[in-house]
Amino acid sequence: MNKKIISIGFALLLFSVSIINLIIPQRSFSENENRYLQMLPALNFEDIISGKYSENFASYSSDQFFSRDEWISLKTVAELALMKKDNGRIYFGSNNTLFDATEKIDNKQLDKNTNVISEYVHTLKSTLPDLNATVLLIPTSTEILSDLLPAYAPVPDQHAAIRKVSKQLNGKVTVYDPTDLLKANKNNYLYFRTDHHWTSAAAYFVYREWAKQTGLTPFSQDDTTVEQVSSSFYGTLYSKANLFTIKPDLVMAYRPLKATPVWANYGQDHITQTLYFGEFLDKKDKYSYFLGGNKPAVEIKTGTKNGKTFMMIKDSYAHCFVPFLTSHFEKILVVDPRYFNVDYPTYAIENHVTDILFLYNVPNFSTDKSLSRLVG
Amino acid sequence: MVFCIIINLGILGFFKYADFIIDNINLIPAVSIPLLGISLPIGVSFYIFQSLSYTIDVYRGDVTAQKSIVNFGTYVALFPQLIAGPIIQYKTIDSQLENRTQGYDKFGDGVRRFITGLGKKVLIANTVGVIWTKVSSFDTATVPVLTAWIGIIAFTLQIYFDFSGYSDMAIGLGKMFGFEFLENFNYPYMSKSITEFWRRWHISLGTWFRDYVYIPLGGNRRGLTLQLRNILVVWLLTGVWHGASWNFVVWGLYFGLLLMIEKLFLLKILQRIPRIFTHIYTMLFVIISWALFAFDNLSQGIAFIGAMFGQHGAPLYDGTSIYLLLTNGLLLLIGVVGSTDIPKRLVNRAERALANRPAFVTTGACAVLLGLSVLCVAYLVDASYNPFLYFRF
Repeated sequence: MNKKIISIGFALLLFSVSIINLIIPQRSFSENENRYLQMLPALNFEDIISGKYSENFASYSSDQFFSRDEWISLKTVAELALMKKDNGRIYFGSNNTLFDATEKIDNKQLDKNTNVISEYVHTLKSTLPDLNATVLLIPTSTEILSDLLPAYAPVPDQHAAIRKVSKQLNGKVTVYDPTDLLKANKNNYLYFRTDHHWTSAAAYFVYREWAKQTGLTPFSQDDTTVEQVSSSFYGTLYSKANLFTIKPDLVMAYRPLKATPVWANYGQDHITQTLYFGEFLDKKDKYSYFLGGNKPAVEIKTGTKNGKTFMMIKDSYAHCFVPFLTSHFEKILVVDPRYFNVDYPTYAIENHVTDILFLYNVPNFSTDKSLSRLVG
Repeated sequence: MVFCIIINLGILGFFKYADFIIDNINLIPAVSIPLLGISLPIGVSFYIFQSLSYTIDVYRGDVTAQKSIVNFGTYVALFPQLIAGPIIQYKTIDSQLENRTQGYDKFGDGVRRFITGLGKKVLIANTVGVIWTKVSSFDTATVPVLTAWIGIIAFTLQIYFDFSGYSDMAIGLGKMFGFEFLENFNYPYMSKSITEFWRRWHISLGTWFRDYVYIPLGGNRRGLTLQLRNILVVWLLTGVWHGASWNFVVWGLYFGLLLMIEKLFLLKILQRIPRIFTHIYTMLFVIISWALFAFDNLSQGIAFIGAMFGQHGAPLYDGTSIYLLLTNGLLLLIGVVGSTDIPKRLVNRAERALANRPAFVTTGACAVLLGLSVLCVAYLVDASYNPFLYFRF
């Protein structure tokens, strides 16, 4: 064996890689991973002593490595070739579908949050006796599309969690369980393959059943237009998958044909006449097309004149659900306890709320710690 | 010499064991000494042992004192093995400090060795480490038997590939600079007894304790009782060397005890039974020892060993066990085969078969080394998991 070639080859490789890394421009943000990258840290005495400098330097050298995305993809491909089906954050399912591998059900928190709902509704009813309260807990893709998960992949039992909440609230608040409905329609495009959200299509199915159950007349599929607003959506799961060969998602918007005019206040005097934000379709997070992403509170006035005020306590799953409600209520308050801190009983009473809906995805509902704000 | 040893052990004691001792004194009611919260200097156990080796070798007259502070500094702080061994005895390297040859031959060998070591660490140790991290985070009271075994086998492979990978890299880097270090690992998981295991595992630590503790205490030449005492002392120290915590004390004594039993009668029996049983016996006890080693908390380690044998009434397996097996089985298999000498024998055979076509061999070697390097870079660039196991040593 010619050791001269090996020696020289090794030295050349080492030098050329170092030089390429030195001359390529730094990137401050990775679109694919959806996070800021470490830039060359500045030298200062305190950081060197505390060890922060060397830590930052280590992440700098891996974050700014040339062709970073291709290297990371190579690793993912190598792992998949070794029959790995997850990377600790993502399950690689069949049909190009990614799943969140970190979902969990926290039974203690689930219990607490369920009690919060019961207590909050009870408090409101002493002032608003006709209040109509419902709970919608939406299972995520790991529950509904379990056929596409890798075999035996451990995921939490979301259906059991919904049943538990339902049992606990029995006789106090109506819990609507959409699991069977979604499973029956799982051949539709119900969840993004690359994002942790459900789609407008899934929201529409659930809206229709929920509306029937709460005594509203849902608008039918014939009265709806479905518009494809984007065909290049790479969501949060894609960012964690590090496999950049996955195909992008489509984003569809369901709209009633007879649109009700809306005046929506997104806070800080940001008032528009739409529930859709086209500007996000050019950005990374295209799910924010619906309602503009996470906002503490959105107050919507509609052209519907029936005196009904709807309040929604929710996470981001609600964003593509809200547009279906405009023809049913005169006023819609969409609040997110994670970001909106008010005296919740007073807020509901002052707004003369007639209907209240709690809408969360199941893992979120069982881990959220901000719901306790509802009862102070 | 006594002065020098006291200073060296004093440094080690202060940095490594002060808080452990204080912690245990604090267990006495009404005593409360604040912890010092000292950060352990990287590799302190390795280079303290190296400087002790110098002092003792010179004192014994095995070598003459080093006149050059630069050469002495080179010995103690030689970077390839500074942080994770091997522990080099001064007498084995004395002459190389001044006379060593460098050249393409050695450099090429060094490159080959270095890349092999890097691959062991980055491609195998880190990836099986992920399995262990996951399994060790499960509740030991409910973890099924199969999951526990997958986890501990992953740790068994992780610690071997990690440690021997570091040693390979050190030996390889040393070679590039012209040094010849002694081997530190010799396929320990192929051993047929615990005695043999410790002749193949972390050889440099074993020989250090043999040369500087066991033999000076009299070794095996002063009767059985004293020999057993000496084994116990050495293994108590070996345990404590690995970390300032009770689980390491128990881990060391566990091996001390096994070695005594083997010395007394078991070795004779082992020589007479079929080889397969000796391998099973050895690996069983080695794997159990890693459970003690892996958990800082002794009771947690013991609970985990219980889980491995279904003591807590958990099922034999569940969906998660099957998922872990399906998705990591191939990786674990590669690890198991890679920890034997099979790959080495295959490479040697291929080289012999192609001995008359040197260009072919060179091309093949370059391709394999390049492929390994590319994969290592890919795994390192996505450095979401790159643990350093020896921060306690």
